[in-house]
Amino acid sequence: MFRSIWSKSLRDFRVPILGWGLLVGLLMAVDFAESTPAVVAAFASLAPGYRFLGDPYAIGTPEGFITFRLLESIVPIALCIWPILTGARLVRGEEERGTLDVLLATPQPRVRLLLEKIGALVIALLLIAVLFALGTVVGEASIGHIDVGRALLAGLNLILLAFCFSMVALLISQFTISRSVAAGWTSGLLLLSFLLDSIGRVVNGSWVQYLSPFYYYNLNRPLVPSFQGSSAAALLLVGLSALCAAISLLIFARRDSGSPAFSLQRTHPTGNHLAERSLRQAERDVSVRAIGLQALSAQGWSAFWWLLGLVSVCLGYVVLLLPNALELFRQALQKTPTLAKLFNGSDTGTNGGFVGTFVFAFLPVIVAIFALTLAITWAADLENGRLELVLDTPRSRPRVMLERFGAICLLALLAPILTWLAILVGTRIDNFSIDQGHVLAASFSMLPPALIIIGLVYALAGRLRYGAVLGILSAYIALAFLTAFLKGVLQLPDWVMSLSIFYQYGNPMTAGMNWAAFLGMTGFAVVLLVIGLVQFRYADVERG
Amino acid sequence: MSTIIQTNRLTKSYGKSRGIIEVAFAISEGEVFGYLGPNGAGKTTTMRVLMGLLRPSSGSASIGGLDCWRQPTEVKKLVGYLPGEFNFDPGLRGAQIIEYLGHLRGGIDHAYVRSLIDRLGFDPSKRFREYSRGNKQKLGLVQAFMHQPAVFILDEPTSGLDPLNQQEFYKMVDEEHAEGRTIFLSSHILPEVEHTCDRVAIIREGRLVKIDHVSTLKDIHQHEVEISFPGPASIDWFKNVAGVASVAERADERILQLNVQGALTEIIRIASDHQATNFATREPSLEEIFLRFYEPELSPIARA
Repeated sequence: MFRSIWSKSLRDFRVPILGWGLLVGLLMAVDFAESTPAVVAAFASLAPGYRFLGDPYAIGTPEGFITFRLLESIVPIALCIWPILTGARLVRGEEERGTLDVLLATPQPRVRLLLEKIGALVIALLLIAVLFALGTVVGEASIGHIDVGRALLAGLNLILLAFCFSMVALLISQFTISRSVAAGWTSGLLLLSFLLDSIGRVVNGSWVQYLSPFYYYNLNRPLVPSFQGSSAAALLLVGLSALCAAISLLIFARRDSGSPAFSLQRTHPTGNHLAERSLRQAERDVSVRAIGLQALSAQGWSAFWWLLGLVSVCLGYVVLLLPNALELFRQALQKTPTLAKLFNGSDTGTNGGFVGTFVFAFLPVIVAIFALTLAITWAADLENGRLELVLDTPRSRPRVMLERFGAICLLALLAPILTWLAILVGTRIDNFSIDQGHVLAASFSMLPPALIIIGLVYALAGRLRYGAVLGILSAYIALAFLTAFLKGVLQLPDWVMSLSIFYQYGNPMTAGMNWAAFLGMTGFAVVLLVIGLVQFRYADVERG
Repeated sequence: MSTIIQTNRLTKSYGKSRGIIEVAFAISEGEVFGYLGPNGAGKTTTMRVLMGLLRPSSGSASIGGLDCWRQPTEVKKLVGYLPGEFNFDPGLRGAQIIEYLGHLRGGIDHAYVRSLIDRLGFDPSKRFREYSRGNKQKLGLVQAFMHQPAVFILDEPTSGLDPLNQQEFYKMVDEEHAEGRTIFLSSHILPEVEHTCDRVAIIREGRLVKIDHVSTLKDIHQHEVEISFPGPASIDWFKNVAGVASVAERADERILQLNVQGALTEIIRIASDHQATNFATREPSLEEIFLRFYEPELSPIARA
């Protein structure tokens, strides 16, 4: 495994290959099994309302239904995440860690080095496609007709899109100083291209979709036998990927290791002048006056983008989707027992209930993930020795921790406030009658689960490493969400359900404020904070 | 003078072979105290226990009479610390980091900070991620000195610095010393310790093996001397001279190799009597001294 760059890279990819492959495979298998004629028929009547999300071609067949439901939005977008992160990291990540210099010090030509890494990525994606096809075949078996060739082609079409975006990320990473910037820009491009394709479907006579790789991806739907695919579209995706890879190779072979391809030369007035200016600026800088302010400023931008996304989702849902989808969904629910079972206990008959089911079933999870991304920096900073100098100043450890905790809580508090305001404004815009008291309750009830996640990070970070904390809490959020979301289907014992923060959150949109859960969870978060404080007070501060 | 830093049977064990075992020393106020040892000997562990970052497994450490683990905040008011390795928010500029740490220390004299920056030739306008190793070290020194503390704890302060800045650092240490401040610095560079310190402790594999004045340490300091003669040379010329640990003859009989402890005056005289044509001395590395120091059967010096 350590004989060559490509085999070592492939070894690094083994967990994502299995993880993503099994995830999409499982999703396909389960979704095929669920697509009984009744469910397909119910969704077929709903689909025209969701043209924005996909083209309902042959929606009455299980293959058309699955293609519409999974393969036109969720799966391709999800499956692009890892390749984008990997593309951005392929060389820039190693440069950031300082490990590329060691590799380049060996007698390996740069072009070959990058080609081997790209090769490993291609093999990884092919393996994911095989696992995807495997899941699809298992799913097809449950409905009685198997087509291995089409399943493999569908996997291939998916990874063509993913590879294309990963090569775009690789290309962008040649111009950026950090891999996260490249990954961020490429993710933005991914969403933009999805949006352009959607506009193309909804707006007559539009041409913007031709700019979108998503459009060319959607020109092939190998799972649907009656759909006329276009091999030219697939070749175009391959060509675009190859072009990005070739330009990246050219740039990588010529640029300085560790620097972007082009960097703006700062004009130094004089060394001393610049030094004096930066010292004066720092003296005026409010963000460096306290640990809490510094934490706010360090996480300000990432919090801003999260919150902007949150507000857009709320506004988008309430203003665009609600008025169109509400009636269609009610009809589908009445006709389909499986759907009714999934949404068992949620009162989707009223406006408030509908918002509760379709907005507040997911928002607490997004807010919890947002809280996790904010809080996890504490574990990362501890592990990377970034707190070493701060802890050498005469500030007590509890104070250092409390100031950081306070800053994170303040940012997390913005999420419910902005959600409430966005829904308030959204419902005013489309004149949608809803109990504003319940919106307030549902928004602010999202805070205690987020506080618990923050508390868990601080309680675990004293003992566990960054990777372990991140892994445990991501898994907990995923499980807690599934437990709460599938409560009607799973029928788990009460005590298991009560371990899920999202089950505790309940449905304040219909039930109103649940003070017992609110105060109980907040109290639990305080207990976690105290555990974190005690742990940190008596723990060794280890480095990396 | 009163004791300002004291460790009492200080033990910190973690992992299998890391840590320190029953380390005990006392540093007086106004002293420059060197802490010598090879990599991984336990220098950094001792310093991090003193800074209250690690909890002693047993024993205790105090600075200014304050327990380093129980009263860390009070201890840190007295100390300027340079970690052996440190990291910071990569996006912050040098000036911002200095200002931030200054605020956390309760305010600093900006004029003094500027003078430090000038002395070390540090550019505070760059972001942390853009600094080279040497510049990160300069930033570490600025933040350790900027609040004019009573005690300095400096973990390998010259590592990464260029020779000019090393000289500047020695001057800074001399000045602080002259003003009566206490400096505890670790190093594995022998001349540096000889140049700056009054007393030295040597640590190896977690245990203190020697604490003494630098002048005494010089006694274990050996020279390797190579003398060339115009004709065949004899080992007998040198073997009974005081301070000569060993004499060996090179293959061509005209060159002698000696290990000498202490002054070379007598050796030079004898070499001159025999019309020596070349006289070369080499100071052994600290590691070589250590090896001799710990392996008594190989070295008559260690028996002394």
